[in-house]
Amino acid sequence: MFFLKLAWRNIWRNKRRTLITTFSIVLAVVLASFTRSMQIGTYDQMIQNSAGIFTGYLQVHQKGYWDKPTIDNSFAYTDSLIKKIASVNHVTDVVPRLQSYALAAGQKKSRAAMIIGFDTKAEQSLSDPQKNLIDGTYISSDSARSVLITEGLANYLNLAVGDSLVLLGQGYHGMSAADVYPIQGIVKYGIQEMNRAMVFLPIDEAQVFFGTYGRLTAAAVTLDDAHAVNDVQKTIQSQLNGPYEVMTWRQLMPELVQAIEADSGSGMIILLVLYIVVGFGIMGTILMMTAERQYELGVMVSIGTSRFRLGSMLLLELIFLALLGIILGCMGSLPLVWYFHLNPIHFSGDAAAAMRQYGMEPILPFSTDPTIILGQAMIILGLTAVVSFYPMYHAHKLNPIKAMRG
Amino acid sequence: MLILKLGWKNIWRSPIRSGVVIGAVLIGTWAGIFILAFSNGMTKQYIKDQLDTYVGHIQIHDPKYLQENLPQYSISQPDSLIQQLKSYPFITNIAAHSEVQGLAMSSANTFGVSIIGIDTTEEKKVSTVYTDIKKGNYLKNDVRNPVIIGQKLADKLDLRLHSKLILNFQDIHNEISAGAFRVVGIFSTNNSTFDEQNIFVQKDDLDRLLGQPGLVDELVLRVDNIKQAPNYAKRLQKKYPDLTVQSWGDIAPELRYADASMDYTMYIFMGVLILALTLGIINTMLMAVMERTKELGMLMAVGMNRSRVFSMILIETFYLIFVAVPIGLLLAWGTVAVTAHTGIDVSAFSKGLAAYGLSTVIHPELSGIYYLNISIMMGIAAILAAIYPAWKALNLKPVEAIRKL
Repeated sequence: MFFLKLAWRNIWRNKRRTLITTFSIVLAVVLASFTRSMQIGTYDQMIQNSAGIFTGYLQVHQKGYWDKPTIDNSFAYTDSLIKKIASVNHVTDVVPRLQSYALAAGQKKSRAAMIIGFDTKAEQSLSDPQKNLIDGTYISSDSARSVLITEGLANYLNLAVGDSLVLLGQGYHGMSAADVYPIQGIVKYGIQEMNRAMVFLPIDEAQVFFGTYGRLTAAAVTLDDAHAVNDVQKTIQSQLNGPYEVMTWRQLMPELVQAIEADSGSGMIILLVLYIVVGFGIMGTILMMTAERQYELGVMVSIGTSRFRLGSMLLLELIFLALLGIILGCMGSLPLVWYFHLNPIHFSGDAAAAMRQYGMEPILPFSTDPTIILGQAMIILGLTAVVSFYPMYHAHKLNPIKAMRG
Repeated sequence: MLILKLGWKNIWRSPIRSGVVIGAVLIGTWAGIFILAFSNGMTKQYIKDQLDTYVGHIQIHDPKYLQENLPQYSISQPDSLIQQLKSYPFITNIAAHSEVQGLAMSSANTFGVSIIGIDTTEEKKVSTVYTDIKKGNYLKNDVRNPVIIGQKLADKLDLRLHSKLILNFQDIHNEISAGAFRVVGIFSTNNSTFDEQNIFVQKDDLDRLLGQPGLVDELVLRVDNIKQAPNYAKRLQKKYPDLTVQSWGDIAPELRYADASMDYTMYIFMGVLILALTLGIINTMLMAVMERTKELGMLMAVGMNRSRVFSMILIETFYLIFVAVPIGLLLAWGTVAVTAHTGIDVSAFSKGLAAYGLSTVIHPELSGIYYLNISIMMGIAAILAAIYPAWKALNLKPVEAIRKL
């Protein structure tokens, strides 16, 4: 107890020393949080660009659909099923889709296109054709006999709003599917793959077209918390007893997961180097702090303070400083990360042009997930703890006569 | 001169403190550069793999082909063009394609694909797809209408070796044309989107179905130096204004993005690292000045003037940094040179790499300009790191400084 008090007083005896040491810890936390938030933010952007814009965080299919994505592997679309999924905690929307490929033709040309039978209201929470409309009007009824097509397809087929689009494909159980629809609107997406060749057909009409009355190929699910995806998957799986498969974006987009994992590996190495450098920074201040107090420590040893207690006192001081630094570091990191989240770093020049061309906003986004900052703070705390054993060692080895003479 | 000597002696008077500062700067420089080289090597390898698989270095099309994507907008008089191109010393290989967008139909499913007609001997010189055949063989003449498809498409269409595949597309007269093809090989490259969307047939077979033998929609060139590809493309464009000549960055923007953004994020990271180093040095030197209060006070009391004290601390910091930076650079250069030769096997850490299309053996590489830029950044950081502690030392009052414990 006595040494606790002494340690506490020692900290405030020389405010400048405390300030510098604390600052080196604060700095370590802030820089590590900054770097990690930038990395995680980039991954979040990649996930959001795919899951949040088209795929959804989860999808429910007929069992076996993912291995063989044909409309023959569709499932019955019932209100009770949708309600069951929608009632699960964290689920914000359930977006029903009937999706397949068909040949889309204009007057002269044709191209294979993805036909999406979409719910005109529910789809607004995912690919949102209404918001991305660049020409024409949105379709308001699920049974309307008209289509929206993407800009890429419209350009390729030389079609505009009001023209007719011929669709030719394969329906349920090998039935042939063919029809003509007027184009009611043209949508444009930043992501080129999405913009290339998609046809939005209202869901009821799509079911007529493919002959899959009352059936869906997928129900895409959006969440209010992307981290809850595995729990939600389990809950939905257990609630729907039947031949369904519930897949998360990790299973739906393995390439994306691999891209993130590949990058995360080098991200960890980068952080490791940063830890080494900030570790040396903390080490330097602690070293100097002990050196500066030679005389004082020498006096304490000569008047009979046990070396172990002296060491513990120094360790206690550093624990105080570390905690102070960690808390201030977290408090400093949060606004910094938020600032860069709201005002992200903009790419310029070649990189920006390449990103725009690629359909991505040319920014470096930051994640504001507080657990990142906490995680980094814990690592820096561990790092400081390791370095803090030096003063204990120093107290153990101290030669009081030499120390006081210097 | 005296100050220079004094500073040098001072830094060796306290070897642990100097060791910490030198160690931090040395490791920071070394590891920082090595990581730059590692990431750079990884990205370059990725780009090279993708270019070798399907992009090539330069592509030539008719401008209308790029807009309309129809096989009839082909390159006119391709044979004489190829002959002319062969006379350019920087062009190493040329392959001609005919290409059409169509539907691949099996009994199980239908999928939109690009059907590419190739000449197998020429194609092997510009694309490594033949090395990625996982089942069966590359295109050969022993069956009628052979086709090779990607594993991903094979899964989607439920096709196996020797399965029949119907290809449906418009010929050059906009008439619907169809042909039955036999799957002779299934490839799996490191780009699964490519595997899903492209299938290869013999050029003669496709040309026959399209209605014009010897049709060339696309020329894929390989050049002697990838970096020069944009310049070569410009030169060719000038020579052939009626055609569109594109280098790989325009053909595959995602690769240019990978190239450009890597640079950007790496410099941001180096900035963070150097900031950490600078502030670490400032902190340590500030502490050192505090520790040496008595000594500095004594020096001032015996008549050393302020500008000399200032220069002494400044020079000490400089020494520390300029001992560390060159050693760090040298170590980094050595490590990069050695690992570039041996390669670093990272398969143990990241299974994702291979599946993503990245090689699991990485050869770090970094051009001289990075070393220079980093040295300059380090130099500026060193000046900033030196000034503040030296300025703090000036504020010491000699009498108080000596009086202190």
